Amino acid sequence: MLTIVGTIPVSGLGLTEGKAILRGFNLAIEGLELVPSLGTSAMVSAAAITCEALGCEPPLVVIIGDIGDGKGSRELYKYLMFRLPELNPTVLAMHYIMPYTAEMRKVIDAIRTQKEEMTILADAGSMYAAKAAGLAGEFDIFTPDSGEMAYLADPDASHPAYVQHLLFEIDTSETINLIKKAYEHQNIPKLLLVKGVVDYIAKGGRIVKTVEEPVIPVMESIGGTGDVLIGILSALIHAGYEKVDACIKAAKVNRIAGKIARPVPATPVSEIIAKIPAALKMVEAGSTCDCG
Amino acid sequence: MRKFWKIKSRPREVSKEEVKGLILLNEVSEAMKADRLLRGLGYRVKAVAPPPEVRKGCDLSIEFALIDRLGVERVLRENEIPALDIVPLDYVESKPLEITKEVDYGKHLMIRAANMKLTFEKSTGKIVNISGGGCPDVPYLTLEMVGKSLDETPEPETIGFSLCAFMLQKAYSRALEKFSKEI
Repeated sequence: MLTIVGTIPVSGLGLTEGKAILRGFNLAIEGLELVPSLGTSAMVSAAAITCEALGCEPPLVVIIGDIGDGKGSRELYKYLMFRLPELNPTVLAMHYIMPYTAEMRKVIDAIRTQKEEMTILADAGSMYAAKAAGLAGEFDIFTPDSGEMAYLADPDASHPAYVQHLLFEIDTSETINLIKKAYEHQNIPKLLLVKGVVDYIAKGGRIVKTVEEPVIPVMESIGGTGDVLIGILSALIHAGYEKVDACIKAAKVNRIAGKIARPVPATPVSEIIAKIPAALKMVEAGSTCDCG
Repeated sequence: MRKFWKIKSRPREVSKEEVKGLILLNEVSEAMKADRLLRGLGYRVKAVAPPPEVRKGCDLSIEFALIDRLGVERVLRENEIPALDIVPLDYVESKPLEITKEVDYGKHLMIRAANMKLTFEKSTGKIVNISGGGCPDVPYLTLEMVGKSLDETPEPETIGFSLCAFMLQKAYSRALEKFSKEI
């Protein structure tokens, strides 16, 4: 089972748990309908449509409303401490949440004995909390962008806002060195998918594959494209793909979906999500995108 | 009464020679509010990371000249901002990134501050996208800001809560500055 946890920017939304299905452009979870935009909703939508395209069980989602005051995040952490051991997912993807280190430590402690059988991915606030708490090694895959890569490489930063100026200056040009540095400081898991102009897949701090085509520069400006990537990746691992292969395929599917959508900086992420099944078919068939 | 505490006409950073103090607060949103208020009143303040032993993961504290302590405490009290503690600063502080980067997409310009990116249409100032970040107010800020023009949108520091919102404010301020020069 694939379980996705995170917050949604809906004030007052209580804990909601249920299977996620994409209906047209809308995401449906236990009677709740959301329009996917930057954040957990984009990630869940991408995972749901990928699962459907692959013919596997839809993701089980645990979400809560939080507009940034942290109340929903605290409640979610608390819930996960007892609920995750019961759910015992094979793939756990953690996403937008306030990066509270003490709470993240308790969640990981709660699943410590089951962790060997799980693949745990983190992005966004969950990844920030994992690194700041010194728990990166407890996770299987992080999916940072270049700015977040500088954060992971900085041994002292407790949030990307506190990255050293020098690392910020070089974050897009020196990704490979930042990966090495982050690995030396034990601030990354074994596997890393760094999204950017070039997507890097690194294992044990070393690059094992890069994905560079097709090139769609405006993707960086579109909120939610990184969220879509981890959604696709989670679903591929859930469907049984080997982790490195899943990272490579996810990077390709994300780029091709973007290419098919012909985006401009104002394109909503839902238009890219809708193209995932077509992009997946192309990647599975081994064809390159000649759709632009 | 408030004017009495407007003690400096030109804000400047706390110099290295001055004894510095640190206001520790519960939430980043309180720190952003304190920073805005104190700066507006002319106090020499700087947003910095709290000492490692009190960090929770998403934190911001305010550095100030310790000589201003009474006035600073008064402003916090009057505005109901509960400081956890005010301590002399004796650790090597780190502060949020000040610099921003830009990517030009022709009709659009993207400004990046740390992990936060804001893209606007150069001719109209309309915010077309926000990306990056990991704290829960980023999706909320996206819903509140995208589609609005830079001079009409609520500013991230007024409705956001986290360090991601704090960095988005820096990207927003830079975008507004660039847009003002364009028109």
